[in-house]
Amino acid sequence: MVPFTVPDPVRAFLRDATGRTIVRDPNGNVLGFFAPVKPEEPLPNGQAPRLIDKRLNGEPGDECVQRVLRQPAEPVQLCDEAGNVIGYFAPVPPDRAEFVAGAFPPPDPTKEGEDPLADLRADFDMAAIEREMASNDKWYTLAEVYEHILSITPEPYWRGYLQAQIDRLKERDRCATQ
Amino acid sequence: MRYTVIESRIAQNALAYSWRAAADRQAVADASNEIDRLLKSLPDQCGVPFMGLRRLTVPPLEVLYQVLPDDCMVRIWSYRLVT
Repeated sequence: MVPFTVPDPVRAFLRDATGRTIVRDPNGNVLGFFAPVKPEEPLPNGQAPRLIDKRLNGEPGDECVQRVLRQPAEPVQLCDEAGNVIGYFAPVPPDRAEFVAGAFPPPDPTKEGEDPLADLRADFDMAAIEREMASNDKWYTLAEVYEHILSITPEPYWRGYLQAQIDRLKERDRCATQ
Repeated sequence: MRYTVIESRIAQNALAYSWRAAADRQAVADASNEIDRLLKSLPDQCGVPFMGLRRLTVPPLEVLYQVLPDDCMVRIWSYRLVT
Protein backbone atom coordinates (compact mmCIF):
# COMPACT_ATOMS: atom_id res chain seq x y z
CA MET A 1 0.00 0.00 0.00
CA VAL A 2 1.37 3.40 -0.99
CA PRO A 3 2.49 5.71 1.89
CA PHE A 4 0.76 9.08 1.86
CA THR A 5 2.10 11.82 4.11
CA VAL A 6 -0.58 14.01 5.63
CA PRO A 7 -0.13 17.42 7.30
CA ASP A 8 -1.08 18.43 10.84
CA PRO A 9 -4.72 19.43 10.15
CA VAL A 10 -5.50 15.94 8.80
CA ARG A 11 -3.85 14.24 11.76
CA ALA A 12 -5.71 16.55 14.13
CA PHE A 13 -9.02 15.73 12.41
CA LEU A 14 -8.35 11.99 12.69
CA ARG A 15 -6.94 12.10 16.24
CA ASP A 16 -10.14 10.88 17.87
CA ALA A 17 -10.88 8.37 15.09
CA THR A 18 -9.92 5.45 17.30
CA GLY A 19 -11.89 2.87 15.34
CA ARG A 20 -13.30 2.25 11.87
CA THR A 21 -14.35 5.69 10.67
CA ILE A 22 -16.50 7.06 7.87
CA VAL A 23 -15.20 10.48 6.78
CA ARG A 24 -17.77 12.85 5.26
CA ASP A 25 -17.57 16.23 3.58
CA PRO A 26 -19.71 19.12 4.92
CA ASN A 27 -22.61 17.98 2.69
CA GLY A 28 -22.60 14.51 4.25
CA ASN A 29 -21.10 12.77 1.22
CA VAL A 30 -18.58 10.06 2.11
CA LEU A 31 -14.99 11.07 1.28
CA GLY A 32 -13.58 7.73 2.37
CA PHE A 33 -13.08 5.15 5.07
CA PHE A 34 -10.35 5.36 7.71
CA ALA A 35 -8.95 2.70 10.03
CA PRO A 36 -6.29 3.52 12.64
CA VAL A 37 -3.08 1.51 12.52
CA LYS A 38 -3.95 0.04 15.91
CA PRO A 39 -7.49 -1.32 15.57
CA GLU A 40 -9.95 -0.70 18.35
CA GLU A 41 -10.54 -3.83 20.40
CA PRO A 42 -14.04 -5.33 20.51
CA LEU A 43 -15.83 -4.47 23.72
CA PRO A 44 -15.67 -7.18 26.43
CA ASN A 45 -19.40 -7.91 26.15
CA GLY A 46 -19.02 -8.83 22.47
CA GLN A 47 -20.55 -5.59 21.18
CA ALA A 48 -19.10 -4.14 18.02
CA PRO A 49 -16.42 -1.47 18.37
CA ARG A 50 -17.88 2.01 18.03
CA LEU A 51 -18.44 2.84 14.36
CA ILE A 52 -17.29 6.44 14.03
CA ASP A 53 -18.90 8.86 11.59
CA LYS A 54 -16.90 12.09 11.24
CA ARG A 55 -18.11 15.02 9.21
CA LEU A 56 -16.09 18.05 8.21
CA ASN A 57 -18.15 21.04 9.22
CA GLY A 58 -16.41 24.00 7.69
CA GLU A 59 -14.14 24.86 10.61
CA PRO A 60 -10.74 26.42 9.91
CA GLY A 61 -8.48 23.69 8.55
CA ASP A 62 -11.33 21.60 7.17
CA GLU A 63 -10.69 22.85 3.66
CA CYS A 64 -7.13 21.55 3.91
CA VAL A 65 -8.33 18.17 5.25
CA GLN A 66 -10.82 17.86 2.42
CA ARG A 67 -8.27 18.85 -0.21
CA VAL A 68 -5.70 16.34 1.10
CA LEU A 69 -8.14 13.43 1.53
CA ARG A 70 -9.48 13.95 -2.00
CA GLN A 71 -6.01 13.40 -3.47
CA PRO A 72 -5.50 9.63 -3.26
CA ALA A 73 -7.14 7.61 -6.03
CA GLU A 74 -6.70 4.30 -4.22
CA PRO A 75 -6.26 3.07 -0.63
CA VAL A 76 -3.20 4.56 1.05
CA GLN A 77 -1.20 4.28 4.25
CA LEU A 78 -1.44 7.61 6.06
CA CYS A 79 1.86 8.77 7.59
CA ASP A 80 3.17 11.78 9.46
CA GLU A 81 6.19 13.71 8.22
CA ALA A 82 8.52 11.39 10.17
CA GLY A 83 7.12 8.36 8.34
CA ASN A 84 5.12 6.99 11.28
CA VAL A 85 2.01 5.19 10.04
CA ILE A 86 -1.16 6.56 11.64
CA GLY A 87 -3.68 4.49 9.76
CA TYR A 88 -5.18 3.49 6.43
CA PHE A 89 -7.57 5.40 4.20
CA ALA A 90 -9.73 4.12 1.35
CA PRO A 91 -11.18 6.95 -0.77
CA VAL A 92 -14.54 6.36 -2.44
CA PRO A 93 -13.85 5.44 -6.08
CA PRO A 94 -16.05 7.50 -8.44
CA ASP A 95 -17.69 4.37 -9.83
CA ARG A 96 -18.70 3.25 -6.28
CA ALA A 97 -20.20 6.58 -5.20
CA GLU A 98 -23.80 5.43 -5.75
CA PHE A 99 -23.21 2.22 -3.79
CA VAL A 100 -21.57 4.08 -0.89
CA ALA A 101 -24.34 6.69 -0.77
CA GLY A 102 -26.93 3.91 -0.56
CA ALA A 103 -25.12 1.74 1.97
CA PHE A 104 -23.82 4.56 4.20
CA PRO A 105 -26.36 7.39 4.32
CA PRO A 106 -25.62 10.25 6.75
CA PRO A 107 -26.50 9.25 10.33
CA ASP A 108 -29.87 10.30 11.68
CA PRO A 109 -29.11 12.90 14.42
CA THR A 110 -32.23 11.82 16.33
CA LYS A 111 -30.69 8.35 16.76
CA GLU A 112 -27.35 9.55 18.13
CA GLY A 113 -26.04 7.18 20.79
CA GLU A 114 -28.24 4.30 19.70
CA ASP A 115 -26.92 0.96 18.47
CA PRO A 116 -25.65 1.63 14.89
CA LEU A 117 -26.65 -1.92 14.00
CA ALA A 118 -30.24 -1.57 15.26
CA ASP A 119 -31.71 -1.49 11.75
CA LEU A 120 -29.76 -4.60 10.77
CA ARG A 121 -30.84 -6.42 13.93
CA ALA A 122 -34.50 -5.62 13.28
CA ASP A 123 -36.62 -8.03 11.29
CA PHE A 124 -36.71 -7.73 7.52
CA ASP A 125 -38.33 -4.54 6.25
CA MET A 126 -40.89 -6.15 3.94
CA ALA A 127 -42.17 -2.80 2.66
CA ALA A 128 -38.67 -1.85 1.50
CA ILE A 129 -38.18 -5.28 -0.05
CA GLU A 130 -41.48 -5.03 -1.93
CA ARG A 131 -40.41 -1.62 -3.28
CA GLU A 132 -37.11 -3.18 -4.33
CA MET A 133 -38.96 -6.05 -6.01
CA ALA A 134 -40.98 -3.54 -8.03
CA SER A 135 -38.03 -1.47 -9.12
CA ASN A 136 -34.82 -3.45 -8.85
CA ASP A 137 -32.91 -4.01 -12.04
CA LYS A 138 -29.42 -4.41 -10.61
CA TRP A 139 -28.14 -7.75 -9.40
CA TYR A 140 -24.75 -8.76 -8.08
CA THR A 141 -22.91 -12.03 -7.52
CA LEU A 142 -21.22 -12.52 -4.15
CA ALA A 143 -17.85 -11.89 -5.84
CA GLU A 144 -19.17 -8.53 -7.10
CA VAL A 145 -20.50 -7.65 -3.64
CA TYR A 146 -17.08 -8.45 -2.20
CA GLU A 147 -15.49 -6.21 -4.86
CA HIS A 148 -17.69 -3.35 -3.67
CA ILE A 149 -16.77 -4.07 -0.04
CA LEU A 150 -13.07 -4.30 -0.95
CA SER A 151 -13.22 -0.80 -2.41
CA ILE A 152 -14.30 0.65 0.97
CA THR A 153 -11.97 -1.45 3.14
CA PRO A 154 -8.72 0.33 4.07
CA GLU A 155 -7.08 -2.31 6.31
CA PRO A 156 -4.36 -4.28 4.44
CA TYR A 157 -5.19 -7.56 6.20
CA TRP A 158 -8.88 -7.44 5.26
CA ARG A 159 -8.13 -6.24 1.74
CA GLY A 160 -5.95 -9.32 1.23
CA TYR A 161 -8.64 -11.55 2.69
CA LEU A 162 -11.37 -10.09 0.43
CA GLN A 163 -9.19 -10.32 -2.68
CA ALA A 164 -8.53 -14.00 -1.94
CA GLN A 165 -12.30 -14.59 -1.54
CA ILE A 166 -13.03 -12.78 -4.82
CA ASP A 167 -10.42 -14.86 -6.66
CA ARG A 168 -11.81 -18.08 -5.15
CA LEU A 169 -15.42 -17.27 -6.05
CA LYS A 170 -14.54 -16.22 -9.59
CA GLU A 171 -12.53 -19.39 -10.13
CA ARG A 172 -15.39 -21.50 -8.75
CA ASP A 173 -17.92 -19.78 -11.03
CA ARG A 174 -15.58 -20.07 -14.01
CA CYS A 175 -15.22 -23.82 -13.46
CA ALA A 176 -19.00 -24.20 -13.02
CA THR A 177 -19.65 -22.71 -16.46
CA GLN A 178 -17.14 -24.93 -18.26
CA MET B 1 -28.44 -28.91 -10.14
CA ARG B 2 -26.42 -25.73 -9.58
CA TYR B 3 -28.23 -22.46 -9.03
CA THR B 4 -26.95 -19.02 -9.87
CA VAL B 5 -27.13 -16.86 -6.74
CA ILE B 6 -27.55 -13.11 -7.20
CA GLU B 7 -28.07 -10.30 -4.69
CA SER B 8 -30.25 -7.20 -4.73
CA ARG B 9 -29.03 -3.70 -3.97
CA ILE B 10 -30.64 -3.89 -0.50
CA ALA B 11 -28.81 -7.15 0.18
CA GLN B 12 -25.51 -5.71 -1.00
CA ASN B 13 -25.91 -2.61 1.16
CA ALA B 14 -26.87 -4.67 4.22
CA LEU B 15 -23.86 -6.95 3.80
CA ALA B 16 -21.53 -3.98 3.27
CA TYR B 17 -22.82 -2.25 6.40
CA SER B 18 -22.56 -5.48 8.41
CA TRP B 19 -18.98 -5.87 7.25
CA ARG B 20 -18.15 -2.30 8.13
CA ALA B 21 -19.67 -2.42 11.61
CA ALA B 22 -19.49 -6.02 12.82
CA ALA B 23 -17.27 -6.87 15.77
CA ASP B 24 -16.37 -10.18 14.12
CA ARG B 25 -15.84 -9.62 10.42
CA GLN B 26 -14.57 -13.13 9.93
CA ALA B 27 -17.88 -14.52 11.18
CA VAL B 28 -19.82 -12.30 8.76
CA ALA B 29 -17.65 -13.40 5.84
CA ASP B 30 -17.85 -17.08 6.81
CA ALA B 31 -21.65 -16.85 7.08
CA SER B 32 -22.08 -15.12 3.71
CA ASN B 33 -19.82 -17.70 2.06
CA GLU B 34 -21.80 -20.54 3.63
CA ILE B 35 -25.13 -18.99 2.58
CA ASP B 36 -23.85 -18.65 -0.99
CA ARG B 37 -22.69 -22.28 -0.97
CA LEU B 38 -25.98 -23.63 0.40
CA LEU B 39 -28.14 -21.60 -1.95
CA LYS B 40 -26.14 -22.73 -4.96
CA SER B 41 -26.95 -26.37 -4.29
CA LEU B 42 -30.03 -26.77 -2.03
CA PRO B 43 -32.02 -23.53 -2.04
CA ASP B 44 -35.42 -25.18 -1.67
CA GLN B 45 -34.28 -27.59 1.02
CA CYS B 46 -32.50 -25.21 3.35
CA GLY B 47 -34.26 -22.36 5.11
CA VAL B 48 -37.96 -22.06 5.88
CA PRO B 49 -40.88 -20.60 3.90
CA PHE B 50 -41.72 -16.97 4.72
CA MET B 51 -44.33 -14.81 2.97
CA GLY B 52 -43.80 -16.44 -0.41
CA LEU B 53 -40.02 -16.29 0.00
CA ARG B 54 -37.63 -18.29 2.19
CA ARG B 55 -35.39 -17.31 5.09
CA LEU B 56 -32.20 -19.05 6.12
CA THR B 57 -30.12 -18.44 9.25
CA VAL B 58 -26.36 -18.94 9.33
CA PRO B 59 -25.26 -16.95 12.42
CA PRO B 60 -24.54 -14.10 12.62
CA LEU B 61 -26.55 -13.58 9.39
CA GLU B 62 -30.07 -14.36 8.29
CA VAL B 63 -31.01 -14.07 4.63
CA LEU B 64 -34.32 -13.61 2.81
CA TYR B 65 -34.35 -15.18 -0.63
CA GLN B 66 -36.45 -16.36 -3.53
CA VAL B 67 -35.97 -19.53 -5.57
CA LEU B 68 -36.70 -19.40 -9.31
CA PRO B 69 -36.45 -23.10 -10.23
CA ASP B 70 -37.22 -22.66 -13.93
CA ASP B 71 -34.27 -20.31 -14.28
CA CYS B 72 -32.04 -22.23 -11.82
CA MET B 73 -31.67 -18.94 -10.01
CA VAL B 74 -31.78 -17.71 -6.42
CA ARG B 75 -32.37 -14.04 -5.65
CA ILE B 76 -31.18 -12.79 -2.27
CA TRP B 77 -33.38 -9.86 -1.24
CA SER B 78 -31.85 -8.91 2.11
CA TYR B 79 -29.62 -9.80 5.03
CA ARG B 80 -30.05 -9.10 8.72
CA LEU B 81 -27.94 -9.71 11.82
CA VAL B 82 -29.24 -12.29 14.28
CA THR B 83 -26.72 -11.78 17.08
